[in-house]
Amino acid sequence: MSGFFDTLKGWLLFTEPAPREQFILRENENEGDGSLKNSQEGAPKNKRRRRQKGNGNDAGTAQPIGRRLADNLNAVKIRFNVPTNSDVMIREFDIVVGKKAIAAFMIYYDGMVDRKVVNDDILLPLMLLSNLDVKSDEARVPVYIRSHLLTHNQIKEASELDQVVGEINFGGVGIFVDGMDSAFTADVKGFEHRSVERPNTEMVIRGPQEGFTETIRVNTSLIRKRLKDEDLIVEDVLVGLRSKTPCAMLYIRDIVNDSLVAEVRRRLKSIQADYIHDSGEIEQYIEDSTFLASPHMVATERPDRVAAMLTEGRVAVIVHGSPFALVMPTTAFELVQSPEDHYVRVPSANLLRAVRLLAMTVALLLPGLYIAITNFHQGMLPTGLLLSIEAAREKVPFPSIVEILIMEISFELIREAGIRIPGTIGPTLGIIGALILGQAAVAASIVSPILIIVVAATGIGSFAIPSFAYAYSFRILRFGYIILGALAGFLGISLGLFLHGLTLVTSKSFGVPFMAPFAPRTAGGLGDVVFKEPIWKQERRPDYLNPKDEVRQPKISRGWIGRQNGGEDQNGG
Amino acid sequence: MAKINRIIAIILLLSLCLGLTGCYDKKEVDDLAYVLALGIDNGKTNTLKVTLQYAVPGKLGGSGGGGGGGGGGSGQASSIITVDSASITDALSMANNFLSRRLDLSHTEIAVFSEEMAREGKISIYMNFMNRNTEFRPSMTIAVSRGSAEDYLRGIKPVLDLVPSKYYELTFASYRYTGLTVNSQFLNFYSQLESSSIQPVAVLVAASKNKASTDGQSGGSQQDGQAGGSGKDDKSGGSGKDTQAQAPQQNEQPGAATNKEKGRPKPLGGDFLAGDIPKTGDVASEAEGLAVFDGPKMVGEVDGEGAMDYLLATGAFHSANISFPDPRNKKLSVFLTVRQRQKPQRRVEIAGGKPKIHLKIALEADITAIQSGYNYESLQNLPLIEQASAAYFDDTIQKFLTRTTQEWHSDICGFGQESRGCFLTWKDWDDYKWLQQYRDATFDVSVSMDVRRPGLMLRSEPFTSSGGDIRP
Repeated sequence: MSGFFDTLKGWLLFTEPAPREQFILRENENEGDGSLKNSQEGAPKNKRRRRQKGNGNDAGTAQPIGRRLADNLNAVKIRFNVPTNSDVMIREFDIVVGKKAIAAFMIYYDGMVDRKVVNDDILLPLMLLSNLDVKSDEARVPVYIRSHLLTHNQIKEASELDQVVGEINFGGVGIFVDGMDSAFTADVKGFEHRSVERPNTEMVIRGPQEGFTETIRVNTSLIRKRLKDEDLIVEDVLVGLRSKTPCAMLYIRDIVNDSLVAEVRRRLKSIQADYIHDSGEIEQYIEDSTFLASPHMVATERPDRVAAMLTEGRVAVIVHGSPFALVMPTTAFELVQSPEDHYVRVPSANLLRAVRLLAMTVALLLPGLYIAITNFHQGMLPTGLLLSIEAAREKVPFPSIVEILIMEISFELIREAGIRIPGTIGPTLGIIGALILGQAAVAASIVSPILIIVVAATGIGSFAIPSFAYAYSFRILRFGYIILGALAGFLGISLGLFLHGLTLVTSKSFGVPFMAPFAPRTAGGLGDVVFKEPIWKQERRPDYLNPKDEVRQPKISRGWIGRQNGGEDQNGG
Repeated sequence: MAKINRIIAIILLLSLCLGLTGCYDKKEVDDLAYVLALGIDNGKTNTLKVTLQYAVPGKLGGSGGGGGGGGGGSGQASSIITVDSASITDALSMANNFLSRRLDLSHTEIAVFSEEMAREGKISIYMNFMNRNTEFRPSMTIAVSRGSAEDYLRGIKPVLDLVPSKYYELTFASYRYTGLTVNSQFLNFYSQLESSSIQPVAVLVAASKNKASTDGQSGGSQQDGQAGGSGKDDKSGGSGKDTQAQAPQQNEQPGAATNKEKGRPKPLGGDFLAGDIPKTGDVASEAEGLAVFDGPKMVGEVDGEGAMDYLLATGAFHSANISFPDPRNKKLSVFLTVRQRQKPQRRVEIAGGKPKIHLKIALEADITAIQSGYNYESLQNLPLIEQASAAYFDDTIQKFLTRTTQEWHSDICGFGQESRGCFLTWKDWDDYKWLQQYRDATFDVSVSMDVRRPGLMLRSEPFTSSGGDIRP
């Protein structure tokens, strides 16, 4: 019993939280002097150490490759469960070098590799072209094979079986040669995958129309083709003890804050899950707070958006098998931005932003406000509106809170069913939703017509929020505001806003306060936070990211405007 | 164990939330009946006779689709009850003994006091309740009814609006384009009641006396027609006493107009007090003019034209249509739509212990009609009507202000606010007792008028006939 009171006391009274080591996004020490010495020395060293540690974890299963081919064949067969595993292909053959025939075999998964590449670039040169005259005086067989026979463009030599297995699992081919204590792996991926299509969840009118696919290399190439910058680092991390899901961390080395990269790397590598299938799972493993309603990172299907955010000094994580890249850190204001904001002109972009702000307010607060006003603050409404609300409610037998919960829940039902419903009977849902829930509910006096407008406006509002993960959080919180509005009217809603605000200002995304740059107010303008300034005025990268290179463009970024008027428009814009 | 503790604590806290708030003051929209108008008369069997007009939204929703307000529908969306009681709160409690829904005052658009009560100075007794109560809106209109407030409220059968609330909103905002009533919101009324530099006014309303239009009600004044002529020459400043004396009589006599004492042959729109407007039709109530208060006591009433002068002098004037005799043909009129060019410049000086008030009013106007067809639009002739209309305003405002000092001794225009500048300390001003000294005030009024636009006609041309050109 006393334990219970302690719990209660712990919640109701303030106790200083126990000091906990938290990640803090530190400012770069070399900030301002423009040299990249720190990054060039610091980061790779870090990287090396992490890598070694990572390998150390795997050391328990490390198995060196022996010189005898038969041993290797056996080892591989055991590893791949060969008779049981039907799609493992082992092809044994001889390499004839000069007068000598060397036994060899290669192993791959059927369907994962490009057969034509395997035939033309690996089997053909090894089996036939090796008969050509030896023009080199290279005596060592491995070197000769590597430098003269294997015509494939991507050949790695691995001395441990695990490395080979990893490559094979990801669409590679392993080539074992008798007498060699290492094996060749060639990347001949040829599995089926979706081609690059339009992003389905983030449509824009103006802007690029390609989206990520499920294949990691396609995705990284989509970004690299936008950011033609050799400082864009694509760092591979394998996540998942069993799945070894390839993930790529992307960042621009001379912009991003090193400690941020290190933190993302640390979090990714510490994941001890056995299988990882999608970036949504990675997100849950590395996010700062599990129970905060809003997401902590941007999940996007759009390579251009990732590229733009990388140039601001963020880190992106691409997971093989997921068309959604994660970009971190993020703030509450960036979740409301759409990539289109950057592509359209300032007046249009600001109209869009204003509409979106309105949509957010409506999606979050409208049902709660409706309940609060109709139950507590009738005096606030214009008389005409009040009387029509009253007239509409006249025949409804429920209290308005029950009424609104009925409608909100049925709206959530329609929304959920709409995602699950098979495409062929999809139109049925429209009939059910519109006719039964809308018209018939009003006709049967279960709900009032004004309430349907409220619920519909809320629904439309939540669809206008660009980040669907953020919209989810609004869908959840909306119910909280409905209950608060019913309990205590505006007092309840303002209490809710207060608590909501408190949770937002205390939460962080990878060391960046979630409400930055407002709380805390950081240096630099608010050029692209709520409303957008002209693109030529956005001279600095967001300060809260503490990038190495703060300056995005010089004060006068439009060279054709004369220097004498300070880079401003003729008409003062 | 810890987990169970947490769960118990969550349940306890949530139930505390429910228990503590418990929606205890939750009132569903349809659990309330909204009082739209409040009428307060002296009671017969008790202190007060309270008339409550409340909305009946069920009727509104039912017939709203069909637009079925037609068949006497005005009474449908609202209902009126009258209770004899000792106080307003008592009346509400008593009414709730036979009304199912709790009466709510948050949408009360208008509070009407009878003239009888107002003259007895009883308004202030009930104002305290209105000011203290959270439900009353500060924007509620305060009106004084000539005759009984109940009759006024029962007479309102808005044909254009489904709900009377809109009728009140629009009717009492019409001063913006008629200039014949004033905006007497509770907020202003109460603060003026307490202020030592301004006195309150209220809109004058009444149940119509004219059920059918009457002709020649102003026939008696025709002999004065010639003498009147243009407003400029009119000298009837002393007629205020008559008005006060006549007021009760006018209540008895339908269609009485104030044009006679102003020396006008026929009454203009502004020459009526509420209740006297000659008209027929469904709506049996009307508002025009204003009730003048000295403190909580009503001391006089002014017709529509006086209300316009009040608006002009205080700067609350928006626009109005006026007519004045044609300078070249006194039988015909020139019509102008007048707006305020800038807020009036008001200055007070204390000369020999007596206030002297300087008032400069700048107006501009569009020509609405020139009955004579004379080409006043031309630049040479324009000053003629500018001067004539300025003189007309000059005269009426001067007379109106004189009435405030001599007849009512009440500074309703609030010159007291400007008078503070004549004193060095607040105590000096306080000791001067402005509201007492105001009765000796003299006025220096100057009105300037600029005619800006002639409407769609740029130049008046005479009509032609076989007999040559005709100018009416």
